Amino acid sequence: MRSKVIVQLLNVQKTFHPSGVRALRGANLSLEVGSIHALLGANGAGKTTLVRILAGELQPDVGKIFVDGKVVDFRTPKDAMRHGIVLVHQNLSLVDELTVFENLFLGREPRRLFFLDKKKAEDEIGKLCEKLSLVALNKRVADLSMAEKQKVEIARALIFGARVLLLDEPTAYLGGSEEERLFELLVSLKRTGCAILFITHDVDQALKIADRVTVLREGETVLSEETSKLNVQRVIEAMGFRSSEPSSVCAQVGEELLRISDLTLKTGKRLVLDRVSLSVRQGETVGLFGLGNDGQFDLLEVLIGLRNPSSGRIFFQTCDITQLSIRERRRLGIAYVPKDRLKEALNLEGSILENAIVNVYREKPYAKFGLLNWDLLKRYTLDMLKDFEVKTVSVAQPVRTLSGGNLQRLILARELFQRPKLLLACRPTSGLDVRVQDYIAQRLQQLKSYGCALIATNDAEEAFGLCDRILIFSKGKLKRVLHTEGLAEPAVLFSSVGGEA
Amino acid sequence: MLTQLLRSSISSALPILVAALGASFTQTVGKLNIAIEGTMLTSCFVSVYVAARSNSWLLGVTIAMILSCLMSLFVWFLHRYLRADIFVVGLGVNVAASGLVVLLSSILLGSKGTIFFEEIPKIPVLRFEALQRNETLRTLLSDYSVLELVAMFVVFLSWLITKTPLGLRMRAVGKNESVARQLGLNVDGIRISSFVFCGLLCGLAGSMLSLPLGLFVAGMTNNRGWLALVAAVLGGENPLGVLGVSLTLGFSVALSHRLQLFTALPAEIVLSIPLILTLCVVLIYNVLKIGEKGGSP
Amino acid sequence: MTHRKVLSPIFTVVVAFLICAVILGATSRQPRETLRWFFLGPFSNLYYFGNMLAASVPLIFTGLAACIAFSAGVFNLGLEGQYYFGAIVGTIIALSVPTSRLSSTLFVLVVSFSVGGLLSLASALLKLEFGFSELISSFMIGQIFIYVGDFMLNGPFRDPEAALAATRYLDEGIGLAKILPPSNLHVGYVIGLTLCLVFHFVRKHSVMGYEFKTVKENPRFAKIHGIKVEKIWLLAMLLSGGVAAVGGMVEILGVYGRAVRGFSHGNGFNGIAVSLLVRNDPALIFLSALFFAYLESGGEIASLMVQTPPEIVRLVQGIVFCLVTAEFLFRRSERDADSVA
Ligand SMILES: Nc1ncnc2c1ncn2[C@@H]1O[C@H](COP(=O)(O)OP(=O)(O)OP(=O)(O)O)[C@@H](O)[C@H]1O
Ligand SMILES: [Mg+2]
Repeated sequence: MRSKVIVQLLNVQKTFHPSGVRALRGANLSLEVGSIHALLGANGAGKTTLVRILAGELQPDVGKIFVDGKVVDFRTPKDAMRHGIVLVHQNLSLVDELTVFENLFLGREPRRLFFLDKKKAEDEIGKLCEKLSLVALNKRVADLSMAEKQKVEIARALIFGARVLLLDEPTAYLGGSEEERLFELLVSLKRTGCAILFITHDVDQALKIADRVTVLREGETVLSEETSKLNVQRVIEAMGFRSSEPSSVCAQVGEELLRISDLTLKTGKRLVLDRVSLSVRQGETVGLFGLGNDGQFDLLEVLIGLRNPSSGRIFFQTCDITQLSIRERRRLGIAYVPKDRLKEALNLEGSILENAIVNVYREKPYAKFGLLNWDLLKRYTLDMLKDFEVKTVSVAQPVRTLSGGNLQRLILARELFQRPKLLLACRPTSGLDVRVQDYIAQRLQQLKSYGCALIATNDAEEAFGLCDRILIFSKGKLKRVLHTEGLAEPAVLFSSVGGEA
Repeated sequence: MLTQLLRSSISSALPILVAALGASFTQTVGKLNIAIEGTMLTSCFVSVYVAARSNSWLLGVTIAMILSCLMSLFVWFLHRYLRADIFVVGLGVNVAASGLVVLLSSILLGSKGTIFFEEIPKIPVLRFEALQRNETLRTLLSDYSVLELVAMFVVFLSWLITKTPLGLRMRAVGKNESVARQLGLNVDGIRISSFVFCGLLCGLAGSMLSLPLGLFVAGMTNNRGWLALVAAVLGGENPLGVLGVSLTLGFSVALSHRLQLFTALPAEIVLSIPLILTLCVVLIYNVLKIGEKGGSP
Repeated sequence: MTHRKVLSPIFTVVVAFLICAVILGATSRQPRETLRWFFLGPFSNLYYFGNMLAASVPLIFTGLAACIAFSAGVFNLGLEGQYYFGAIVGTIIALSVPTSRLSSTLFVLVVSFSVGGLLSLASALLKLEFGFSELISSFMIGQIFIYVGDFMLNGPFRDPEAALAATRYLDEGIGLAKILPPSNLHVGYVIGLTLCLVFHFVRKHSVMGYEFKTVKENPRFAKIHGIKVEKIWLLAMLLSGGVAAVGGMVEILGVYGRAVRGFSHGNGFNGIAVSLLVRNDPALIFLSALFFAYLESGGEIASLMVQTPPEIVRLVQGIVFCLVTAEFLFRRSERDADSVA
């Protein structure tokens, strides 16, 4: 049975001005009714650009878009929506200050006379919310977890009558079980006749879920096949990678670098961290794993000094740092990669240079008598970018023009380039392509020779791939310690949480 | 005594409240219009002049509202389509308006000073016979002029508007413009409508200052436009917050009038009382509400 | 591109000029003369020219003050109060402690700096402690202290012999030297210019400048990377209020010679517009201050020479304000340029 093609892109090209980056040089894609399509490609291959064109946010320089066999010309997202094409952004596009309910209906409010017809609205979404297990309709979006926000976005797309759902790296912020649930949802949507396109960096995942896979490489479509005719090897080669086995060097475990005793954190009445104690030695990579937001990310915020613990002490290399400021902690050699890349880890208004130097600008050779040595700082940045293979045209470029993966690389480069003794990182490899993930793993191996890392995550694969030892969190409590060596597969993590909770 | 104070608080709060609600519409969409003072002043003049000429206060109010609507659209137009800085434009409108009204009054009426309009039509007053017997109730609830009642109704209407889909869209546009655009909201249309509301409300507020007195002076608004801005910003996008701050302002304005009459405090100190009092009230409110640190990033 | 950048302001000026010409032509009895004095008056002789430069001095200071606050992402709407009250306190101190010449000038400037700085610092503290918007608190505190200043000039510190509410005259010796006598231009112009250039340099090349910029653009990011955001905000507010007050004091030392009720007449508030007009670029503040002063002196000269009534002057000024920041020639810009991957 040949299924019906709903959307087709032919030879789409796009060049960004004024930087002159050719993001797409001839991309082709076709989406079919009732199927899931995976879009793969290295960081900066042009995946986001492609879906944004399809959703009417950008206009292609060359190329045609067909919907239902007719040529269309999308000038605004609204045009695309009229054809039932909706994009769910990687950095979600919800209005944080409004409630879930308000977000769902923004722009499509059912009305009675002039007023919002709340009852009709609730009827309309009642079933959907059940299906998505969306309950907290009156909560502000700002208070939701990333996974919940994503669900809200998808729900909104469906309410808007989406036939074609485009998801840009939907799993970037999700934990393992949340991911499972998302895919279940996608499969059930597929059955109702939606066409779904999702971007991912995980080849296994793509082959498992999708019916068809398209690979972009430097802006060109290099592969587009049914999943049944593909294997991992071929996809990875199409992306331009050699598949490699991560080298695992066993580093010596040295002195104790970090010790936490009985750390408790409360916000209002809620107990975020409940008497957590742990110790990390040089040469170790320790994962902090929780299914959702179980306090593992908050622990890192406490360790870097963003929040004050209600009780408990933190020792770094024998000195008590509980009362030190963020700046002093960073001086001691602690680096931190925050969870929200766009709002916390980057200054999106600034240039690449300004983002890259934020940890060193006030240190000795770069600043003297309160004045900055821009030449030196520029050289420092260029070295760093080269070392971490961040693709840029110039360092004065606004940072927001980098692709998602390049942004993440820049952030990690900034923190690792200084050779920190202790790296605190939230979800360091999410959104990175396989090659860079390996590269980061390698870097963390190198870090072991002089320091250690604490990695907070809700992604079992990530924890499993990067860490030697995994501490399992549940509702702010440290539940269990697992050593990865003895374990067979990441799934063990879920069961170990489930068993205790 | 106290009831009279309350009553005059309400009367002095109303124009501020109405203008503040107008400003708060523009603040909700993220483009605070600071030309309130000038817009109010212009409509002060226009309303009495038209009312006296046509012998109809209703026509006066209507024309004033239309005109101030045009003024606030002018601000929006310069900002949106000529990319002018909205703050500078607002300042410009205030300065220009202060010149314009004097110019108009000297051209049309031949005087730059205080102008009394003797033949101005009286605004009807609504009197509740049932309340006449109880003094307290009478001072508090009866004898409001139609204009004041209209203002109260308008306040209620603006509160209703924030509950409609349009109100929701306004908030969305103000909070996150790019998301609003992505969702296909008509961002410009929403902003224009908020500026229209702002203009209409400022026009009404201006007429409320001059019509009941039947006179016009160049300094008539006496910083009420700025007070309205204070109320709008402090109250945020919640009309009840704006109401609260405006009432506080109205009360302290009324109080300072009393103090001026009955005590020997220097005029300057008396004039600063509304500001001091409002600052304190809002501060205390903030402290109670937040309790802990709120300003850190 | 660059073509447009040059043409646009010229076009703006032309449009503003035409509108003003129409208004003046319609309302004035001698339109040609009025126009001439209004727009060419300030350049007609050295005296007027000097006075125009002198009129730009307070605006340079308050413009810089606004710019400092904006540079760190805070708003100081209390400039008028800081300018006025700081200068009044400075004058009163100067009148009560007679000392030697130069040191006392400096001393007075320092006093007014601290007074203005304290006023603005108060609103910064309110922001940090209670999350109370500094935008509004600075405005209110500023207004309150304008009234307090009025009271001081009219009450306890009024010179009983003066016809208006004002203090006694300061010692001749303490005033700032004139540059272009007989016009009012004084050394304050150079001081203001220097401060602007210093701040321009600080913004571009210093650690503090980078921290200001980062805090302005993303305070959360700044905090996470060890910048003391609260400290930067306090510092910016302090400097902003201080500079505004110094501006007021310089005006008194250079022009008035005593504190007169209402001598600030909008200079503080206009500082914000001065700064916005050049997109908060400290190196250009002197230009936009000059532009504002030009309109002011044009109006003054016109009313002096051909009795143009002040309301027309205000009307014209207002319209020019409305138009100065407008751009008439631009393309629908590349929408793609600002996007997030
Ligand atoms: N607005 C822009 N201006 C200039 N260059 C841009 C802009 N947006 C994207 N680019 C560039 O276009 C290229 C493709 O970007 P795109 O975001 O499509 O990559 P991607 O495939 O989504 O990568 P990732 O997996 O890292 O998210 C990148 O080199 C990026 O720097
Ligand atoms: Mg991307």
